Amino acid sequence: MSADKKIYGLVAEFNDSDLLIKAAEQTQEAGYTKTDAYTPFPVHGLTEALGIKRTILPWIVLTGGILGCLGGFYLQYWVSVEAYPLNVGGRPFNSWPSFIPVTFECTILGAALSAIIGMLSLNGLPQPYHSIFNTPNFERASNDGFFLCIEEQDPKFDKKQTRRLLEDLGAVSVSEVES
Amino acid sequence: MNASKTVQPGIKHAANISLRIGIAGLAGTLLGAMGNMSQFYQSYLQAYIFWSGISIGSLAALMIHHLAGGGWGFVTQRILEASVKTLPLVALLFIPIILGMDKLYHHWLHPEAIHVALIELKSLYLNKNAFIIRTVIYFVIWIGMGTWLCKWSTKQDETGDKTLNRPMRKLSGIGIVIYGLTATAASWDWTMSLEPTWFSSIWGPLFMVGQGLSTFAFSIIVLSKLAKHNPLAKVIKSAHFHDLGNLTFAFVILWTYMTFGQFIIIWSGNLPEEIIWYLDRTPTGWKVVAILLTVFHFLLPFLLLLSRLTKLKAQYLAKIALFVLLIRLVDNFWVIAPTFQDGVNIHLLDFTTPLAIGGLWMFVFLKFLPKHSLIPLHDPRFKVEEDPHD
Repeated sequence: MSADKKIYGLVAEFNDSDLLIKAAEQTQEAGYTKTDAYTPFPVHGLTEALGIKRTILPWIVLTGGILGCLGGFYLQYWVSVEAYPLNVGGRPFNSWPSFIPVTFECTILGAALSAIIGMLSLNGLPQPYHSIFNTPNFERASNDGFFLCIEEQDPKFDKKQTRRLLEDLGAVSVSEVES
Repeated sequence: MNASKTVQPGIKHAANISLRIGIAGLAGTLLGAMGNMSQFYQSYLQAYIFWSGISIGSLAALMIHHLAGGGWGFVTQRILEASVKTLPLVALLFIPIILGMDKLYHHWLHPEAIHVALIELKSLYLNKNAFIIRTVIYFVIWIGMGTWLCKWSTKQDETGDKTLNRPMRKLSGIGIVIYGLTATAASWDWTMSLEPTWFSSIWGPLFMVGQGLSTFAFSIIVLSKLAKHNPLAKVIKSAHFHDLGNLTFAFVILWTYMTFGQFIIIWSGNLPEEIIWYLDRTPTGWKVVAILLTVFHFLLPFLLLLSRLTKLKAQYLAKIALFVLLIRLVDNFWVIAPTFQDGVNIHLLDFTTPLAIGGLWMFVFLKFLPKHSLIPLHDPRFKVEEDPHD
């Protein structure tokens, strides 16, 4: 019956965080790359054990900040020098000191917006449906369950072998999760 | 305790080198001063504001640590305390400034000579006796608070009395307010009064931010040396340097914010009695110094400290901190020297006086530093910090 149904991956449940970290390390060593873990609280060292790369978000924020900075300054320059030059107290049209506060604010705006938008898009949010919630018992991930998922998309994924690996690593249960 | 022995010879060696640099600087200063006393006083004031800033700033940082806790404070506490203990030396080093008042502060010392009504009105506050008495009061207060804080901290090392954190915290709470008031008043007396008609309400905070920046930069350099040896090697983590790097970063931004804030308010107001300060500091040569400050006191440290990598690695951070310390000297030069000279004249004394005062200061600092354990031994909060869960 379930053979023709598309599966998302194999999800193993562990009883504590130490077992989960060990399991994550072992799966990484075994060559699996499309893995993820779900825990009730942040587990120290789990990110490293899963081999998750550092996010590129800081670079997106930096770019957003620089763009905001240049854009904010140019907007004021364009308005006060090119589009609508006004003589204010005999000061030069390009009175850059007075542009700095707005330039600063635009830098913050650019950085903040790119942080939020960058974070959401890197996380793939908003996402109304995610297959991981088909995992039996998954509500325990916010209580006392520690879950490790190996996705079907993983090039090394093999239903039988992957299941055996996870079971050998001390999983309480290993379930096939529908996509 | 034998672990801390490993660091002792290094400190002793550094103290000897400091003393030699101090004596060499002193010899150079004396030679230079013989020909040009007014240049000497000007250079001396620049160097004095710089080095006194580390001592006074350390007092403030120490009090912030007692109030706020945090990992950075425990590993730098003994550095800050040794630096606070140099305050009596700093007070003594003020004597040449009193001797040179006629040269440094002649604008308000003899208001009758130039007939500026505004300065004559200020003479109730700005006169020789009041200036000296106020400075004595500042130092009595700072040395008093510093002595108590160091005494309780030493006593806690010896007796393990955990209740001593209470008086330290209480004194720091009142002390940080007193520091704010006294340092602000000192900034008026020592540097703002150089241009006696000029005023800026952010001058005091700017003075304190400068002190804080110098203090954190200095602490990072000393800590990076001490961290290689026990007992600090056992407890120090890259997170401590990360914290100190973030504090330096914050103070760099704060300095920029206040410096630019002061400028834009005066620039946009464009009032004669206010813009005079910038008119002295932006003709051709000084403009270059101002631009250099923008790039090297703000932009470069800002960009370097933006990255986590530079803050986590002690050796990178120490290099940036050294650079920040040097640029603090340039900032003091830009604030003080234009009062006395129209163009940028860099005199030999501008180099020898910081070395003379600095050598002596470092020597005394390095004599105090190894007197006690380099980490607080019985601070109950420190134990929490060592918890591996963190």
